[in-house]
Amino acid sequence: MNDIELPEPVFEFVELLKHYLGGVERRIEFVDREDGAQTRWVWRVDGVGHEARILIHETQASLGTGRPEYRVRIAVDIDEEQGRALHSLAAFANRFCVLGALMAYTDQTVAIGSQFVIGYDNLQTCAALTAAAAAYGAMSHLESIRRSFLGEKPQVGSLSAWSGIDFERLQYELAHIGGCRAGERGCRIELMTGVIDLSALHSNPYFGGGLLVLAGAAKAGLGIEGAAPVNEMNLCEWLVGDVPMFGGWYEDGDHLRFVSFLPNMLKEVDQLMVHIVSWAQRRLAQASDTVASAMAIRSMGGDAEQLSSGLKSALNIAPAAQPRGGDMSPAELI
Amino acid sequence: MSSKVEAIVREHMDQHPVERIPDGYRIKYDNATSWLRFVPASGGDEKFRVVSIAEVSTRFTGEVAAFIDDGAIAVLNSQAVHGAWLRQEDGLWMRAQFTIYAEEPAFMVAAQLILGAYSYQSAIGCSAIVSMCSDQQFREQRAFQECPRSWREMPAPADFQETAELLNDRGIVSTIEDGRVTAEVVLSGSATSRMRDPKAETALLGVKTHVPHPLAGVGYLATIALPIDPHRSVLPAWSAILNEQELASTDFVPRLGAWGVRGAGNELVYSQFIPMDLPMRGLQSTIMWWMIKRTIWLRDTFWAPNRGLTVDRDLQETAQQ
Repeated sequence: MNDIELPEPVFEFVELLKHYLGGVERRIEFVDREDGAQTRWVWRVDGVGHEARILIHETQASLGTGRPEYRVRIAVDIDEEQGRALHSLAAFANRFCVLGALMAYTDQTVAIGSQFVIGYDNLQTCAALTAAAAAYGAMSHLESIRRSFLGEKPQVGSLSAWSGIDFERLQYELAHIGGCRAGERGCRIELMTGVIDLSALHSNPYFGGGLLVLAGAAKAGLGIEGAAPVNEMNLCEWLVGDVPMFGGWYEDGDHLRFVSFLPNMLKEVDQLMVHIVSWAQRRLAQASDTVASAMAIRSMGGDAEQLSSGLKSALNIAPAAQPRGGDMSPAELI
Repeated sequence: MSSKVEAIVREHMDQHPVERIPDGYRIKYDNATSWLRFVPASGGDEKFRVVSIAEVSTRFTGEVAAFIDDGAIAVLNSQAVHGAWLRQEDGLWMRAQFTIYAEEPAFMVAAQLILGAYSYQSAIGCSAIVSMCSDQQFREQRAFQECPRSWREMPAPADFQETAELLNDRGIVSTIEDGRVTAEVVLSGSATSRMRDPKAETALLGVKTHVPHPLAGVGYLATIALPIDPHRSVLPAWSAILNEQELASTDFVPRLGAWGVRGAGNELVYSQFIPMDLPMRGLQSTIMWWMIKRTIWLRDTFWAPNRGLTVDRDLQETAQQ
């Protein structure tokens, strides 16, 4: 691990990541480096119960510019049977997003992914979120879906670490943009592009207390009639998004929402709420473009097969095994 | 004694056992020294003739100030109360200034703001520095300050309505919402509001009474947000430059707040907070006019259409350093 030559921002990120993963008794193991037009490095995350990998590569947009940017992707493969059950439910399952989106590929496989582009302003925040996403993202997401299907009531194991003082500080920090109202257990930011809600009231079935973050906009305002292309939106963001993606889009009646859940362990990360809100603002401002791209992917029809396979190849995900026969309910499989 | 403001302040100060110095007063604490000085000045016009500048400043010393770098100063300035933070050769300072006119119409308010700044600048400044260390320290300092977290009497909505109407009558787009009034000042072009044209180059000004300060409790918060922010790498330098330029001015609106860095470290915002738990009728209008004059100064001195803040070569070099 120490022998790998890494560009400075990547090295700094990996060191921070190791630090945060060490805090939850996990570690990463370097598995591969590919040199080509885009150099990329792949690490495996040990001890998380799923095949979790972290892939870092130079962004397409920065190639040849002399000012390389590096994108970090967290990809957790869901095993074949679970994946098959979840495939058609991706749009629904994403209401349980924690720190990544569940994405369905056209070959019936499913992965949970998060991504961001390394910038000197977000390194520490994103390293902490990456560690949490890699260590717990898939497990907590799947467990939440399982409990929902089984009808289990969430257990209140711990209260949220976020309190009224935190929301009051956020309100002060965002006072110049207006529209921010803090309460004892949450905060609402109303923008021209949508609404951002932060709530300490809603426990996650896996983690218990934490901070639920919802960035929502009306479907009508985004030009969507009928079912929203949420899976394609998540794929778009994951593939080329320039806003850090730690969560996923889902459809909620006549609204689209991007949901993230920050477990209590992330409470001490410096400026976390401000970054999360800043990303949500940017995401809502770009939502129309994301929807347009998602619609384009959906309308590609057969070509979507090629896109999907290209996406997987970019991720270094092994080809999926052929689906086996027999239908099982998601609850049985998860 | 050259003004009613100075007379009121001196009358009040003379009741307290503080050290007198030739042009004012001084108090020494363990980690800080505070001054209140009346510096003779001239300028203004016939109607508003400048006679002096009341300057409240505190120099922070010792360990408490040692770890504050330029980036941290810019963040401290986003929460400025009773003055701007600045680094000088001899240490870390907070400084507030109030230009005093021979015929100051609101002399009681001016005296009250000067006395308030001198009474609390060092205490709130120390708490602000310590609060940067950790969330726990912030909570302890917040409790220690014991500032009121709710208004004894809520500011009247009609006052805000009145302010907005006054501004709209003068061609400045202004809106109100519960406990706040906002206005847009055109920096370039002809579009007058970002609500109508998202590309309008307007500064967004706000005076709010529903946003408590993390340490100082309730009061009047005023902000100026720009439509184009400088690159984040030069934000601390811009914050320092603008604060220094304001403090070097003579005939200018009160310098009770500061230009600082907000958001995810990528926005240059002016913030001014006046702690107060009883509303003062008309104060939101006065503060809004201060913000408008400040924005016009910024526009006329530093703003370039479609580019944002620019400086002449000397200042540019300072910013790059």
